[in-house]
Amino acid sequence: MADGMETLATPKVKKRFGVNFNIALILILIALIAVIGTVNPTFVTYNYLMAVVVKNIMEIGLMALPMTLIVITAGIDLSVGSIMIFSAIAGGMAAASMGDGMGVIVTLLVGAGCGLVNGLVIVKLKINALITTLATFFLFRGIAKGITHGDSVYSYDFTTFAGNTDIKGVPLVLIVFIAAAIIFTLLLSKTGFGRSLYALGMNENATRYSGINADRTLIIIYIISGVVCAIAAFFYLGRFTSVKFDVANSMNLKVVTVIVLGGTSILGGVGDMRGTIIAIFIIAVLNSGLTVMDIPIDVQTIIQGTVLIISLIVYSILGERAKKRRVIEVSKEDEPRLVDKAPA
Amino acid sequence: MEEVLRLKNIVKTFPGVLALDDMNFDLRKGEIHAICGENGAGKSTLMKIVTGVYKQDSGEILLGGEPVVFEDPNEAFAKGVAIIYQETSLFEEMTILENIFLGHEYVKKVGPLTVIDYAGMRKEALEIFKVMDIDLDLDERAKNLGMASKQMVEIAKALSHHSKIFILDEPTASLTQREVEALFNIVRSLRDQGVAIAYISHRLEEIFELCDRVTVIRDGKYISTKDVTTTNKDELVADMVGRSMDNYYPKADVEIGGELIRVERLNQEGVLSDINFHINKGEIVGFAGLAGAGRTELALALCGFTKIASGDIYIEGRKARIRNYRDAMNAGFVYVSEDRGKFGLVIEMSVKENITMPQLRNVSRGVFLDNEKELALAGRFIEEFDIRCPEPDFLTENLSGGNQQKVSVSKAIAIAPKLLFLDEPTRGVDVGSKAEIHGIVSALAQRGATIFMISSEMPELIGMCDRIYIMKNGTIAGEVSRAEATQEKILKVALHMD
Repeated sequence: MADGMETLATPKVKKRFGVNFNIALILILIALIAVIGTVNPTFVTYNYLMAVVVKNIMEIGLMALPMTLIVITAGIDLSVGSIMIFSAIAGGMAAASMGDGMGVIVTLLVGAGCGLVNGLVIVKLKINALITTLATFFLFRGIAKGITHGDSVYSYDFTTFAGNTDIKGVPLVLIVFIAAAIIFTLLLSKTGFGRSLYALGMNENATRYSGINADRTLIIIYIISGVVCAIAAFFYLGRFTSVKFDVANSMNLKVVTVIVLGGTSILGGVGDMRGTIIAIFIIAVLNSGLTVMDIPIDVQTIIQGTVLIISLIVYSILGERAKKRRVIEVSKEDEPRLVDKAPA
Repeated sequence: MEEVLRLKNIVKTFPGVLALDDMNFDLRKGEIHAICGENGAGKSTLMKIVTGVYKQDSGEILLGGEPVVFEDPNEAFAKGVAIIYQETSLFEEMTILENIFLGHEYVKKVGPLTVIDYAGMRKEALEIFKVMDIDLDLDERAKNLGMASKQMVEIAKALSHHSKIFILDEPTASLTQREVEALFNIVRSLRDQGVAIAYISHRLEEIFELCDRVTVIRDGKYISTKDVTTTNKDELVADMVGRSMDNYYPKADVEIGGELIRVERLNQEGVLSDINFHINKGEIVGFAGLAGAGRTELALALCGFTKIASGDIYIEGRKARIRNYRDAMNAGFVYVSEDRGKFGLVIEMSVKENITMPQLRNVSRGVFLDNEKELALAGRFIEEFDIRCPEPDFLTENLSGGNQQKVSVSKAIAIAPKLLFLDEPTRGVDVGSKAEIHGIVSALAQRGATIFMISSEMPELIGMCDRIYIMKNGTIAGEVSRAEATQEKILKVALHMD
């Protein structure tokens, strides 16, 4: 398979160039801010950055964190936007009839439940993650439409607080995001759980044969994804004061865009959380920045697509180089050693 | 009789392994010529050279007296050499007709269009079926066919290319007795029409029933070619195993303790039947048998990777329930796969990461991995087993096969198993690493480990094991002690001869 070569080559890319990649992403981010700020100085004011640039991306940003875990295991969750809307709607209805506490509980339970459904279907019925979550993307929307009969659901005190509170000028959602980003970064890079996610993405068989409970691990990350979608739902509902079943339809693809831009391989086994986090802000700056520069919305879409393609080409080129370099290293380091130590 | 194929002085080496050494073989028109030898004797390598999968390092292939060089399998196929593998390569969703003519479909002109000539292909296919004396529905999809019918379609496919030389690689391995007879009839009728057939098998009965001549190869070397009418089974077995114990297998004497595991009446549908055995503490117990005898399947069932239908497993006298590999590991079982690339190692990860993978909790401090602990654990095994890597963070895929195998064994041993399952621990490793791995296994036994060792190399089993169980057709067909084990004895049971 042609893909086989890809998967073999890519891990080294990230390992060897991981830091460089992330530095490159940061440079792109700074350059973007500088260019847009020069054209329209309002962009770089603190208020604008916080109120528009950051706040508009935070739900996507939150959902991209667990999605990175999923994509590293060679999975994907296309239902994230639907889980967010479904849990926001279910929670909003519960809050309207039973109070805020129930609203919060129902939101989280629905999110976790949706993740559990995804995980169980993927792991136990062994149905491809892309297909499964494409199906549940429609399924969760459908249920959301059914229980609301197509009507809007309104924000309640807790979500209004979540969506509109600033603490000393810093939006609450940003604080939550930073905390989550730190937790997810540590989870992926410093724990055995994170290690097993990479292993699953590279060679699921060998991971199972190492005694790692692959089924449970996979179900857990889909549940985490569902719960984070529910958390994003609080902010989303609060920010927009009401939601209908058919909003935020392309959010799942935006999340996938962030992941790919961040250098995580869709084939699994490669990537890190820092890349995702930087990519979130690049997308945020592009989204709001192009608007500030009065670039028409359709041209914005073209620019975003182009940025993504260019980044993919760069990853691919660096991947090839890493592969070549590796071959040289092997012949330099490995062979002489073997000759040295060959039994007489 | 006219000679259609001759292999002269073929030599083929793989890194660190001499696979074929001065190999000779000839095939005549209208004969069925058996090739037999133990697992790993070089049968498949030889056939892969004939069919252009591999290229020989030296030596000649003569086709109808003319020297030929096959650059790839398609070229060999185009020149009339067809191979039918155990596993068929039909396209499951296509019909029999489409499969037979895949890649060389008949076409016809309909006005300005070139379309597939189904009628023409159908006529030709029926002709071929008549020659083979079989009757299959041409419109049936390949996925609905049994293994025997699939092989027949493969043969028909080769005939549609007018192949003159057929190589059948263990064709009866997964057939029932009736299917075997049907296949034999087809093979015989092909022979009678002048096709030359090379027949690879280690079922000696079949050779005497079907074949005209038999060539024995051993350790990559040509041993003998005989008419089946002038030889007998004992002579063939002697030719197949007749090698001296030229390697030294260090097996230290250790105290054998009480019973560690006892298995009673274990069954797994279609795979394992009525398995009974026990292993005592400190023993190395070998499992011999031909490929497909059920050895790996038994290990996988005991380790919870596959479900057993019935039977009891007792660990230290207590009945155990093993539902998955976790249960098995908790009981102290660890399995080291024969396929280290697929099941043994995550080769894109480092040596350190592979060794610590089964016990991430033990190399963590709180929830976080502790690099110091990881390095200490990995370093211990790198040193102990002399794994040749520049550093513990070196990627496993850059190691040689033997060193990869040492990593694979290390990661299992690192969790101090009570019972270690080694499945073909020295397959595909160079001679040096092989000796080192034998040393490692022996050292383990000395320290009191108990080992369930599957191997297809009989000298290895005889040299290392305290006892050897011999498996055949999914059951245990015999048992020999270290004192009484000889290759002849084992092979006779494995081949089911008296």
